Amino acid sequence: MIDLIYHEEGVLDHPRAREVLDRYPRATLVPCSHYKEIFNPNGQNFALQKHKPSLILARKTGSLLHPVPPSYGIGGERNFYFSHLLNCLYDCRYCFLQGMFPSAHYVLFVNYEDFQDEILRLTQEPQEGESWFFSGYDCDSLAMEKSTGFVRSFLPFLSETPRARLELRTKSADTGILESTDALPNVVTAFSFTPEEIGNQLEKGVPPVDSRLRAIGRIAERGWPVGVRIDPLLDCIDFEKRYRDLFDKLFTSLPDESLHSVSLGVFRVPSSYFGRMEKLHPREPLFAGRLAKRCDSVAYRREIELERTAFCREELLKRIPASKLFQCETTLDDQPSP
Amino acid sequence: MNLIVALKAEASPLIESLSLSRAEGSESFPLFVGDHCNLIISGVGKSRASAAVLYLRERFPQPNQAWVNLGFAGHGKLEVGKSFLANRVMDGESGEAFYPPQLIVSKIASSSLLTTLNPLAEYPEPIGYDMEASAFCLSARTATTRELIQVVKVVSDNPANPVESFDRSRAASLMKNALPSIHPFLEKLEQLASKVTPPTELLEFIEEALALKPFTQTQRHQVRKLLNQANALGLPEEDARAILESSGATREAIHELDLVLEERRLLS
Repeated sequence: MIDLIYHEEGVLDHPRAREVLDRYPRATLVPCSHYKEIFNPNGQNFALQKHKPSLILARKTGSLLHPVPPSYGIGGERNFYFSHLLNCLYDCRYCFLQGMFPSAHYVLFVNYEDFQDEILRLTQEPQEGESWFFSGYDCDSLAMEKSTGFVRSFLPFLSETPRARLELRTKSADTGILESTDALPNVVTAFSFTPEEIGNQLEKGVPPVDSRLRAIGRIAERGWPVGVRIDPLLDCIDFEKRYRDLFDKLFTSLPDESLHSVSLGVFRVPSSYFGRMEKLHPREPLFAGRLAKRCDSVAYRREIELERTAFCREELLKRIPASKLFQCETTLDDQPSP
Repeated sequence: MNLIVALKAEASPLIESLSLSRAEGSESFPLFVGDHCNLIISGVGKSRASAAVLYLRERFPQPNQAWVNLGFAGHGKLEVGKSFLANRVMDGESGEAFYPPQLIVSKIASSSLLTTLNPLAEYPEPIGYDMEASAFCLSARTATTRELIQVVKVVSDNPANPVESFDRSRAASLMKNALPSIHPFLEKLEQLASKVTPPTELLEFIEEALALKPFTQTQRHQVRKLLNQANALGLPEEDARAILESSGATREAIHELDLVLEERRLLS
């Protein structure tokens, strides 16, 4: 429940900001000059704030879209990500956001029209191949839909801009907005999964796997393309059985024609982020796992990463065509462990 | 928890309700201490508030404690006697603003607060007015994480009851009447602070383990890291101690501990 909303001076004139305020009529409003006054200062504790984050309403200025690293795409020629929202409703212990952001407050950039203008501009450039836009790097694309109206705002735009392809990345089971809208072929809703046993330990607030599977079934029935993201792969006991069971669950119920893509991602965070994550949760077993410093990142030791990835790849290819599987390539060189 | 209060009249009901007693050897400021709480009477104004924070920080250097500036404030809208939490503290001189994160569910109202050099005769906006909070926030930032720095004020004057008409003999009772709403907040803040305070038992155990062998500086760093990991991975302290004790050289001890932890490094 949001009961304190910070807002940049002037942003309340925006109709989307008014909509958000209508949703939280009892919230206390606190003005600020710029969202970074609240979000950026050092000396904040992300884990404490996660107990009760506030909402910050702001206007995004400067660079709105950013290129995605080459190995992270799902088949498109040009890939960009953008963030209408910073931070996530859920609290996943492996999430890099807690190492990247000084604050757990939600920052909602209300000027969606500026993101849309930029997407339109990029799709109108002469180009070959598809342009993909990823909305779920710094947040969950769907989990806060009732507050943000993000998908509700973007679907009409994407309907008129078929050359733009959007990935909605989520762990939410609240797919009502998609269920009540005609499917668009250029919008893929990609659900991230870890095995249930791991999710129970590390993904606070995330709906159970079965709830999300039912949500997938509902939107697939409506004709929406669906993605599956096995990301991050997490080393655990009974690894093979747990991941095999997960894949069985995922791919027995999902119709082939609805499956747009599956991607496989490893656990890897920049070393500086990892240091902060470890400090926030010093008693977290995940961070005492079989990890190593590799280049400027912390990841599973190379041999473990290769073995676990190879197993999952092989198992996935028993269930889906190779053309639908995308894997983030391992490019890190080994360095001595810290 | 550290409480910074400007005046004795504001502090007295707190000292009584928290069962604090006067600390010896505190010449700079009147200081009162209890089991989990220190209260300092800073005097009026920003420089006194700032000096009091720095004094307390020196005297009680434990990290991640809660710091609260508690006292009277004028307010452009709230009734006299009503308490409020500052959700934005602005400094009237520098224009700098602080936003104490509001993580605690409380029945206390919340409001912006402007810290000025002198008492104001008027209340131009529906916000609070005081003379210490911004300096308190600025100084307390050097002592703890921002979530644990809070400002709680009790309204002493407002447009209908201007500051010049404030009856000082009523100060203590005004504060005393506000305490039933303030105490639950302080308790929750203390609980929040306990979430980020490293367990002293573990820190003591690590120091004890480091004394078992003549580890070099680099090895001490390695042992500290391994023992923290051992704690995260659920290895009992007595097992870790036994490994370090029974191994021969320091290098061997570190290697043995690492080997034992390796078996536990998979997520359950």
